[in-house]
Amino acid sequence: MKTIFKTAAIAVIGGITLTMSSCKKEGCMDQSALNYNHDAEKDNGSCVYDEGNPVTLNVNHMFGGNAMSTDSVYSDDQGTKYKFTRCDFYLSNFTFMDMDMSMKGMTDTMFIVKMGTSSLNMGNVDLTGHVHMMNAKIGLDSLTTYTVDPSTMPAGHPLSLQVPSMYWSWSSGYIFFAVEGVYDSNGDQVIDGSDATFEMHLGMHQFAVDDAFTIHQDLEANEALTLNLNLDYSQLFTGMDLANDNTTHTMDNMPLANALKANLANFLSVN
Amino acid sequence: MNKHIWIIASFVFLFSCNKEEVKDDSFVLEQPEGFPAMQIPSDNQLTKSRVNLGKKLFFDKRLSEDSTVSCASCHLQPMGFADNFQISPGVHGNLGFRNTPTLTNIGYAEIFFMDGGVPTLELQVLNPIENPDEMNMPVPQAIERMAAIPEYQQMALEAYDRPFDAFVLTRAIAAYERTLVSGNSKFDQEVYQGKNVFSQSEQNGYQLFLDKGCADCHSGFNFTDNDFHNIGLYEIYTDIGRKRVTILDSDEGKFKTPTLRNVELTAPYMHDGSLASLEEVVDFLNTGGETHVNKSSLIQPLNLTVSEKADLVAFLKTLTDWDFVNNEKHGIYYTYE
Ligand code: HEC
Ligand code: HEC
Repeated sequence: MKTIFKTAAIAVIGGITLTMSSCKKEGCMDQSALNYNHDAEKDNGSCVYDEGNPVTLNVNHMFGGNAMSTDSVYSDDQGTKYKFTRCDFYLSNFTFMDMDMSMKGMTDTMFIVKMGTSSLNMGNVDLTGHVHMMNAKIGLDSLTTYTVDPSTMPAGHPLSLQVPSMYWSWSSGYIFFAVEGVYDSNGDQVIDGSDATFEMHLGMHQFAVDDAFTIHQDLEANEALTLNLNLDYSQLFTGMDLANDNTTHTMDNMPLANALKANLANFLSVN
Repeated sequence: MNKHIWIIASFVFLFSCNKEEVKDDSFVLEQPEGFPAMQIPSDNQLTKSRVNLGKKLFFDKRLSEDSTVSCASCHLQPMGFADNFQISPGVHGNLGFRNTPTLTNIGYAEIFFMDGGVPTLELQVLNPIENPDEMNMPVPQAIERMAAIPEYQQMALEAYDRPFDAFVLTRAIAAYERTLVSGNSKFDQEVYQGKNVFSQSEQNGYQLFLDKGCADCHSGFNFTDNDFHNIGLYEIYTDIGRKRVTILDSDEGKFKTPTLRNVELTAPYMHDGSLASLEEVVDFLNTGGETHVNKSSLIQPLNLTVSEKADLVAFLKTLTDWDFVNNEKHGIYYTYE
């Protein structure tokens, strides 16, 4: 009898402690920490912080020597007038190289760059010493492209579902680069509601573009690295004839997709 | 000692976080005679609350731009979860370019869409919602709209222990679709359940189906090899089929082999709905098809007599499962408790 009473008492206490501990999830509650746990309700002092050099890219949207504007009317190589309405693309797989081309640092941070994006904050990457080059991919690596299910990504993540969409629901995979606009389809030299739209979407792993930029900077420990990422929209349609060939979703118009891909090499520069 | 463990166990149970009374949410998927177990992703095992939520979404027109079209507008149970349009209208009467396929046994499919562009049933859900010719809603907007409905929030928490989001939307609809199992047709009764129900004509038709190569592509319990073939429907395909997603010339005019279950109910036929009846399909196959470099060598002139053609059609009609088509559990008015 006595032992049963004792067991019951232990059970009550055990039950209560179990309830308390199992109901309040412990973890790191600081959002700036590497191991931030959004389910945590009690901070257990386990936060781990990222040491290193904060890297920021300031994004400049240019058309030749001037700022690019969605209000401006531009002309392609054949003289066809057009305006931009959208240009969204992924930038991912950032790596930083030393003079001898060995890898100094890398980050999993990725971005969707839009026409309104003014800066990209990469967080901290440990780059103390000489940084010779930065590599980046316009688009995503093939593993991400074909195996990530965007409906499993948390809202706000670049790989979650976007508006306008950066994912092909009919041929599962991410859209790397999307540029859209209106061109003077009726040849009246003005761009207005009577004109047709153009739409070029690149995807599929072979359309990712690997870019390399010379940085050539020496950094102290934890010193910030701030770079200018220049986008020159005048490069996008080089050699194209928008009046006659203006729409691709990659697989349905490979020649145009290839032409756009080739032009992307001159679209980005860093200084 | 055993007694003590029980006491402790019952206390832990009493004090555990789960405040609701424990109700049995497990879902037992029917597995008809002759069918293998369905492969179900570990993050989306079936439960009653998941299936109930998915069913509600499947029938909810609010997932479309102007709240006029639901999944069930094109995938209707009386027609084997297809419809009888050549091309089904979406919002504003917009027309796509393919005939609506059946969702019969869709949980057994290994790849989705006629060109195989989509690898999972969950990912497939995104397309009709976004497709301008179907429901025309960016998925994040559809989620915002549905998440504002308290009933959906509550069902999402119950089913997936998280607020209504893209994960819940895609998982729940896929969960419901996996319950659309059909395995009690006359064919099943004859072949898998060992009952003698085939007429002579149906029996002849079955033999022809096996002998004339149909079963090489329409193979196994679900009458599909989950592969892509060019059957010579056209000399020049306007819809290039699988090439649309692979860009390979060798895939031009290839389409996923459709299941033939409930095929009697899903007219018209082929990817573009160009053949109006099963008789027309059999007449076409009897010719051996048009010339095309990619045409399967299995498609050859069949030299069928008039009565053999009728037998083949009679056999195809034995694949109709009236229990499935009339099963109220698949309908919107039934809730799994
Ligand atoms: C406007 C009519 C329409 C609506 C609405 C519609 N579908 Fe479909 N569905 C189709 C057509 C047409 C196809 C074939 C498309 C293809 O293969 O390219 C299809 C294909 C499918 C497939 C693939 C079948 C297979 O064998 O590969 C699934 C699964 C499916 N739909 C589920 C749904 C769900 C879930 C919804 C609602 C979210 C929905 N459909 C809404 C017309 C529709
Ligand atoms: C080489 C593989 C192959 C063979 C052999 C074959 N089929 Fe098919 N069948 C297909 C494919 C692929 C389609 C879809 C074609 C399309 O949509 O354009 C199809 C479509 C059909 C359809 C229309 C289904 C629908 O829902 O639209 C029927 C009915 C059919 N086949 C019956 C038969 C019969 C009967 C035979 C034997 C005489 C046969 N098939 C032989 C691959 C094959």
